[in-house]
Amino acid sequence: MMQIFKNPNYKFIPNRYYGFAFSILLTIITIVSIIAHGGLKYGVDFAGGTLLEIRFEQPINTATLRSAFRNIAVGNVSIQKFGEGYDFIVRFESQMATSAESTSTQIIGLLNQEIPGNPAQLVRIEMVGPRIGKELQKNAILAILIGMFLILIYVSIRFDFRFGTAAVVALIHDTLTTIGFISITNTEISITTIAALLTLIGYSVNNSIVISDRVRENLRKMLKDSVPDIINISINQVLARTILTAFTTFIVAFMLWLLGAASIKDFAKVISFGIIIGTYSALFVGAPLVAEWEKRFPSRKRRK
Amino acid sequence: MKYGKLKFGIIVVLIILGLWALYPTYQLYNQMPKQKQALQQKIANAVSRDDSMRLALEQSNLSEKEASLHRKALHLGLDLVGGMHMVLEVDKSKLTKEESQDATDRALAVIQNRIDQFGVYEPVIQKIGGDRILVQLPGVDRERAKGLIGQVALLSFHIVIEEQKANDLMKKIDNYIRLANKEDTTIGDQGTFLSYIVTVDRSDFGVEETDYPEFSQMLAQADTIIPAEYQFLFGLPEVSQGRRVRKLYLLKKDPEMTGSAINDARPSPYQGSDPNLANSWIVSLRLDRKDATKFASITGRNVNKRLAIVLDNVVRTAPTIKERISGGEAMITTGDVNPDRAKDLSIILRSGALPAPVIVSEERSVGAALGADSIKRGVQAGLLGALLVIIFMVIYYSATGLIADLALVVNIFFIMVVLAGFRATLSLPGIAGMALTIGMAVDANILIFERIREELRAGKRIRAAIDAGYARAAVTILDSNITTILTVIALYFVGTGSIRGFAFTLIVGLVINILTAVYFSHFVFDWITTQFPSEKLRI
Repeated sequence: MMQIFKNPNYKFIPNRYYGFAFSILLTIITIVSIIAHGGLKYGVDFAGGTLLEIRFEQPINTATLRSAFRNIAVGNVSIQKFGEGYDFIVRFESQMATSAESTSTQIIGLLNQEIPGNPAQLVRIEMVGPRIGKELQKNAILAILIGMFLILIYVSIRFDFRFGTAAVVALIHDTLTTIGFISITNTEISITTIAALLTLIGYSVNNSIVISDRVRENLRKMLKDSVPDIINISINQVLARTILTAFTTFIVAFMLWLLGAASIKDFAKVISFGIIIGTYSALFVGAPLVAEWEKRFPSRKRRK
Repeated sequence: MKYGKLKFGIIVVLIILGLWALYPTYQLYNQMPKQKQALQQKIANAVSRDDSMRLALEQSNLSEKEASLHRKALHLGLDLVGGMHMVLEVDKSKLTKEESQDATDRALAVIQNRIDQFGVYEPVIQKIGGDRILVQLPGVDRERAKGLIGQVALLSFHIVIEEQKANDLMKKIDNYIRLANKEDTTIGDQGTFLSYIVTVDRSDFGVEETDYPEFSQMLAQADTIIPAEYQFLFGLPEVSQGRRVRKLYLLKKDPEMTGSAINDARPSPYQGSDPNLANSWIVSLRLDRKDATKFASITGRNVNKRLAIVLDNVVRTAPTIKERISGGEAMITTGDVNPDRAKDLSIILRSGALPAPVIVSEERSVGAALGADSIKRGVQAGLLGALLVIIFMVIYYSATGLIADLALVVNIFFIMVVLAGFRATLSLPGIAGMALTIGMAVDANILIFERIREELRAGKRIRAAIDAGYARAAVTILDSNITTILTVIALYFVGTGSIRGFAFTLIVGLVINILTAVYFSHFVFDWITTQFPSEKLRI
């Protein structure tokens, strides 16, 4: 029989302050990164603007494409290369293509003049007006808040308020840290990354639930132990499955990140990172928070 | 095993039902392309007229079959089959308060009508957020669709001013522009109005396409000296004697008639005598009886003059009136040998004019090639991930891992079935969602197997350990899946388009996940341990 942990007995709760300190450090890194990058990088979905995905018949380098675009003059252009130089994503701030007579076709035509002998093909275009972007931004924040609130309610009903609160604090931690990851890796905030964040919120809480479930069971069985001890024992008991479940989902997300198409890569990247941070926070933030709370303000039931 | 045969029966029936539900999907995406290709080949090789007729019939049968499969099969999203997603807003700036009240609804009806006639499978046309229109058209050519939707389709008939008068006016404008630009030495002598004008088709005025922007600026500059009852309008860009030009017309500003009462508009091949238009397509217009009478009197009064047919401020055609036209028939030339433009234009004319121009405030289009490529890569990545998970489960839980793997396969199968059953749309994020459910599906089995191991370690017998494992883990699985479902529901309600598809796929996956983990894998586990009783459980 294969087993990753044989009777683990790690001291999660006694060492909880290291975990807290590390998480605070992560949060500081997040904030510093966001400030250093001059805020988050919003994609076309939120900032408005135009995104073109272009495919060339022969590979070219980013500099050639950039100078071609300088002559076409559509304003500030950001160019991202995919793979060996056949595929590019080009973004600019203006919302062209607002009329039926579309500028994107003209741009492709001009590109073909600028870079002769290597026909470009428009693979995808996304154009979002500024008003829609604002609304989307509001909706995304709303979705994240509603998602967390629903979890708080559900976990509070199924377990108790302390578990619910701790789980949500862990989730806020995950969300912030993942946003930090998004900022550090210079990833754009798009609808897709928001979807990834929300999926993570729903998925990460599973780890907290598995632990809470075991704590609840042990509270009934081990009447003599203190709550923090029970929490520590419980974490160790479910440690293997917490790691294993995260691992299998991580494999799939990671494969999508590695091999998926351009439009799915960001999503998979955020999910992959989030799974790791979500597992960490369940072990080092969520459950230890409940222990801390119990130490300072013991709940009435267990008070001796 | 209690009710073992019954449970087995239920599972078999469900799988058969599932296969039956997925068969049209298989036909549509696997067999249909091959059949279409074979037919295209035959059409290309056809020699006799009879052959062509027979094959044309065959082709229409095949597309009918395709349409019926589309109604039953799993839908692929825009990002997979290619197509466009647009959010439109009606430009109300020039409408009165009264007109703008129901402008969006009227625009919606007109666009709906146009798209219905265009023949797109499963279009989405709906009003969102009060005054916006969402249009999703899978598998269409972007330029064509935009032309179809964006045209206001205001049609009017104007008398063309005689050449002599037009010449005089242009000379006047030329003088005016020269005077106005006298100080501006950068323009010089060639910057005059008349020098831009070329002759097209022997008798028409025209402007070269490259000069068009500058020329229209001059026209605007000279606006004050153009008599109020006249108006300069251009034709469509066209190629004449190797140059790209636009014809220029001087028209009476007030239309003789507007095209609000077009009875019918049909594409047809040009049959007149103009050699420039040979082989090209036109749109034949038929006017209402009332308008036909009016048309007859207008043409009667203006014999030997030219009548311009103007669509959205562009002169489409300006034939000379040879005699009084009483039948209420007119035509718009397209000058295009490809019938598509004539076809689209007749659709637009039949469905009436938009109340005002529409602005595209959001657009997402995907070429079909990218779609095929993303499916391939997404599916490959998902499958590879699944394969790794499957191998891992067998390594870690040995033979028991196979049960989880079987549950995983069943899980994916039923997600497809449910998606097809709900006629949901599978988009690229949806594939990501499905891939993620693969990861999450084994989570449930890991929870169960770990629990069984624990029970075994506590000294329970195999049978009791399995039952206890499933019973205890079921609660945890339920709790953890429900929280995920809750957040994904939040995502579904605030998301749009493909995000909704993703959220829906994930919700379906999670629900099926609970069922396969708690019931299906339990059943298989029980069945195997009863069939092959053993003292030791390889887990």
